[in-house]
Amino acid sequence: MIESTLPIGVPLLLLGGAIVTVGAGLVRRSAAWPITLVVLVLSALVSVRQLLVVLAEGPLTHRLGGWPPPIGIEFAVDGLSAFVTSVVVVIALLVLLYARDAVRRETPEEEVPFFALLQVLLLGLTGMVLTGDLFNLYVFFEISSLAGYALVGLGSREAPVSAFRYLLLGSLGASFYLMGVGYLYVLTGSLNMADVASILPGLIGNPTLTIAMTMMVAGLSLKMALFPLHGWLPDAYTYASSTATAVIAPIMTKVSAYVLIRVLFFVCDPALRATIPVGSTVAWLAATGIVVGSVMAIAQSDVKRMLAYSSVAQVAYIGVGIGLGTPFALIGATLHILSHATMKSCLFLVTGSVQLQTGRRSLHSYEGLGRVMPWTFAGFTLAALAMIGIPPTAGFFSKWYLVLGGINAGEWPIVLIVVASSLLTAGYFFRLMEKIYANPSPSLKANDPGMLARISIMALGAGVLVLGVANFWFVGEVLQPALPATLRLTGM
Amino acid sequence: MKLKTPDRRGWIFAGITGGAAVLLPYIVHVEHHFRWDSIPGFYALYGGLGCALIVLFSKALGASFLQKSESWYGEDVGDDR
Amino acid sequence: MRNRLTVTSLLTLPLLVSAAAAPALASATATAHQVATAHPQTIDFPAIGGTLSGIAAIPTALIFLAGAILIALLPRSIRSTAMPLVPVAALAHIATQLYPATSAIGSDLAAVVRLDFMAYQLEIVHADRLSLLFGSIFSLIGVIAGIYAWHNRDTRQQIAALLYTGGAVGVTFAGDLFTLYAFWELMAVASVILIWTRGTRDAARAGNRYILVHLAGGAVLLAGILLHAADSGSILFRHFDPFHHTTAGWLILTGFCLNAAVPPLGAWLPDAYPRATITGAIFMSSLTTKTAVYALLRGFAGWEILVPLGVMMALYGVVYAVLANDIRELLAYHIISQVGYMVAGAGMGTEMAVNGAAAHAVCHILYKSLLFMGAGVVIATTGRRKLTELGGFVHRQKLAFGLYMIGAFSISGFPLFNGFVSKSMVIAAAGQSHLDWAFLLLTLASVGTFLHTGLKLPYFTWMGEDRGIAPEPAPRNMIAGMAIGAFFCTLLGVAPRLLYVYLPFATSYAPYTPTHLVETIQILLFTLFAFYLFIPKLGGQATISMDTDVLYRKTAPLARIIFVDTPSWIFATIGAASEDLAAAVAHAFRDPTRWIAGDFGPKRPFNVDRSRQPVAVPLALTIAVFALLALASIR
Repeated sequence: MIESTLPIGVPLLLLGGAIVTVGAGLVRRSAAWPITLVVLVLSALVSVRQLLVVLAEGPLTHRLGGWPPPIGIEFAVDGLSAFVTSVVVVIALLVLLYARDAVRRETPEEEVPFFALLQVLLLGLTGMVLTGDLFNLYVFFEISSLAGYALVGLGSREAPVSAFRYLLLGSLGASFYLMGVGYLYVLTGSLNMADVASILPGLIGNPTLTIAMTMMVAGLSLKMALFPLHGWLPDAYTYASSTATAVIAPIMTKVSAYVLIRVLFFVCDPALRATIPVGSTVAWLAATGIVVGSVMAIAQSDVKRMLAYSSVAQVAYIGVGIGLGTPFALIGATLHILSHATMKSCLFLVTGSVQLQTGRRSLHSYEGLGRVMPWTFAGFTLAALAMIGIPPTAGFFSKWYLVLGGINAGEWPIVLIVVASSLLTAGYFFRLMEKIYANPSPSLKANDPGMLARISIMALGAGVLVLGVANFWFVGEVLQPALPATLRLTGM
Repeated sequence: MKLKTPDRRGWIFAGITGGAAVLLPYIVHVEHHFRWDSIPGFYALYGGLGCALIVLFSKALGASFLQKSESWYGEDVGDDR
Repeated sequence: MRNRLTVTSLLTLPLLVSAAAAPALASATATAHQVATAHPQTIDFPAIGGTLSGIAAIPTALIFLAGAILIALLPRSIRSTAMPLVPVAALAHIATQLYPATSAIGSDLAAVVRLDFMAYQLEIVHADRLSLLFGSIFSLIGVIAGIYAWHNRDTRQQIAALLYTGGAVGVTFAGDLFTLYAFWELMAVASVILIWTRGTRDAARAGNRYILVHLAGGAVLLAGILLHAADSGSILFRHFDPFHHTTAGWLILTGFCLNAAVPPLGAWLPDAYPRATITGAIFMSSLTTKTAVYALLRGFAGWEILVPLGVMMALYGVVYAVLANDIRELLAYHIISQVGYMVAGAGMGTEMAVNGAAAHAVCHILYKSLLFMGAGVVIATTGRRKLTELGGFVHRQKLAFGLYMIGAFSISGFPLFNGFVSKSMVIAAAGQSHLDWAFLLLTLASVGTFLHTGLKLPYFTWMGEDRGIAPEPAPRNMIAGMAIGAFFCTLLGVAPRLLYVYLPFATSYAPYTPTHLVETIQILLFTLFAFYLFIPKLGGQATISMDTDVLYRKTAPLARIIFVDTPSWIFATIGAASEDLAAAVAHAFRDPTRWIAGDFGPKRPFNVDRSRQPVAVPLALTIAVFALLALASIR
């Protein structure tokens, strides 16, 4: 582990950025967006630099205030966290490009707090990814959650109610996590992840430990919207503003899923995992979630709500991967975190653009839009194909790995569900595509959104392809070295 | 341009060409591969009767349960709307 | 009226010519007997002889993908012209790179390009005689169809068609199942665009059904592939042993058969093809089913079940074609019928059978596209597509009609046209394998084919009742496309050796033997006579036919009720019930002396705001899940 200041670079930038945004915004409202843009560009550069350094030289670490762990807070970055951080920041940057016009039109009065909160949200999320301390993680967890609740609330008329529900449920989840961490502290005397990981094997079988881990899993699962703990998601996504949804939907739940993977697979060892009923219970709940989420998505007539339920289903894929726990399944889950983040943000940007252009969200109002908004729907098509799982998009590969993992684990019903779920996904997407490709009625007046938004959508759409084609590199160079030895693929 | 049912000229024409076709195997050397190859005019009969069989069988099948009205699947199927 | 005689003699002319030629041929071919000696050997596909390198190593499919991107970037005015050039480039690639490379190794070896992927080895290009043959014909038809579609300025269709053809070529050259699957799905996704862009609601729904069925087939295929990979550790696409069936093999076979439109999995074809765009249908009729045929030939040659399936298909298509009213639907059912020959050939598994199936695939692509092009011209120029609404304008569309008839002669197996040289090979292979019943039934299917495609369709479309239809002039490029197709149909018909040298296995089969000619003349002539007599019975009826897709078309509403409305109703009822229960309890305890039963509301349809549970419910659920997990772990 190499000492470096890079790990705290991104959180610091975002923290500073949020403060500056508020300050400048008091003077002049229109300054909020450019400042956020600059901050995010810098953060993206820093995170990419961090990734390159980690790939070249190995994991980085930074001790806050110089205090050594386990007393001090440590930021630990390996290839995987650096990659996830970069993806999170780049997606946020792309959404930001879209956001300039969208925020001005949807929530003009709250432009400054919106962008400031956006940075706070990202601060929390990147902090969660980069930190190496369990309690510090909770702090960032709550920072991101609070920013999330506020962002959701800045939406349509129904938004504050959904935000309130989200707040209640999210707090419950956070509390569970906190209690879990608390019990762990009582047992191990340490809050540092690496430290705890080394102490835990000696405590296997201790009922307190089992409860602690179960609480953490429950708390993170709620934040991740793993079925059946997803109750907050549909409303929150539907009623939040289009930008907020485009940022929260892909990133918030995925970071929580990522943290869950970190906790379960990096902090715990296999023996410990065997004592927590993670394996089959989570896998089965998740498999049910795939089906329920997809079926409910088919039933919706509001496109945003349809995508929200689709997110429930997609997150459930990650849950399946976590539940199965085999090396391939884990690769699938991690890859799906990344691919879903890209796909979903693209899709929500499309629905946002359509809403801004036509003012409506219903399935019916999409009729004929393919002809008048070609660029938007080119991106949409790529993202939709990735969601269904058509090669060579990233969505296909993550499913491929999950299925291989399921076969290895011998869980045939789950394999069947994952393979068949592509059909369900196709069901709700093709309903939409059929409308999009129909002949437009002559009175249809809609255009592609502005250049910036178009760039975002196309970049995200292309990203799905790039991620797919490059997935071998990612799995081989980034993911495998980061995994503990027991979880690596053999014969590589 | 409608083809009318065959009149006398038509029948004569058919008779000549059909007869020639049936007699061809006896003019030209043909190989007998299957056990039915030696039946005179087998393929002619097969063609004519086969045609009749296909038409009648398919029509019967259609009339009994295969054919449905154009709007059987509901909605606006069958019309280019 | 001279018409009758003209028509009749036009039809019988090729027969008379061949009849006259028969004695001449008799002496010339006296020494060339039909091969029927020892028991025909089952095939052995060539082993890998070497690797491709340099430009030859670039998968030909990439040319199509690059072309598709290029089309999007070119100025609108030259897109239509540029489009057929892409498959020309692909043909050039195949001819100058792949053919010489395989010939250099030795004509019965394959050349490959390998790519390592994790634990598996991919073979993204596998060029041998079989794949070169199919790859070439797919590219050629891309050119012809591209010319036919020149007047169509819809860029989406152009891109889709290129991606679709590229996918077909990709599948053909794929040496491993993963690459095959990737291109297989690309084909499905690109081809559905050719249906959706028709723009009508009818087409939209048909496209939906098409893509869902294909994705389902793809899912089965994927399951088979993954199972095979897990069992055997290799993902290479090799021949599956017909004497040792595995579950993975069956799944992959099912996936292939769905794309080949084997009944009962094939109802998507006559559902979708008549509803595709006019120019798109040309691509579709040539590509999806034939790539499936290629895949069957490569992977499942010799699997006996394919023989009865193929024969059944051949007759199935013919029976349904009798009842079809839409001209493209009739042609679509004939695709199923002809593919049946190919499937049966694959099942027989001998060298002659595989040769025959491959030859038939090539010829079928040529004449079927010609037939669809003809039907397309009719629809484009008259706006009508049903037999009950067409007729009486042959004198205004002589050229298109004439070119169509060349395709009709070909599909019917007239001597001098390409169907004669290919269909007969499959049928002869049946004879060679002593499958007499298959021989007879496939011949019967031929009778039906001639009847419908060669006689009924052209008669009722162009001739027959005069309804005063005045077709617009057909665009020149459409006629040009048809002419090129007709040229190839005739070329291969009069010079079959040109085709035979490219077949996977060397063959000395000679179609123009007296025996064969006499047989054919008898069959066709008497079918013609029967047609004459049956004309009144053969006219179209304004009906549709129920096919196996009734299983999902009539049950979809039912599925929605079961899977969507009911759970929603359950959630809504539970939510309402718990609210009411809470209210009732509160009320009861407020005034215990009056225990009033709660008033449960009536059943309500799914309404978001009503069915949203109070926050208490998800909170309770979370705690319950946690408790479940905790209790499960402390046991």
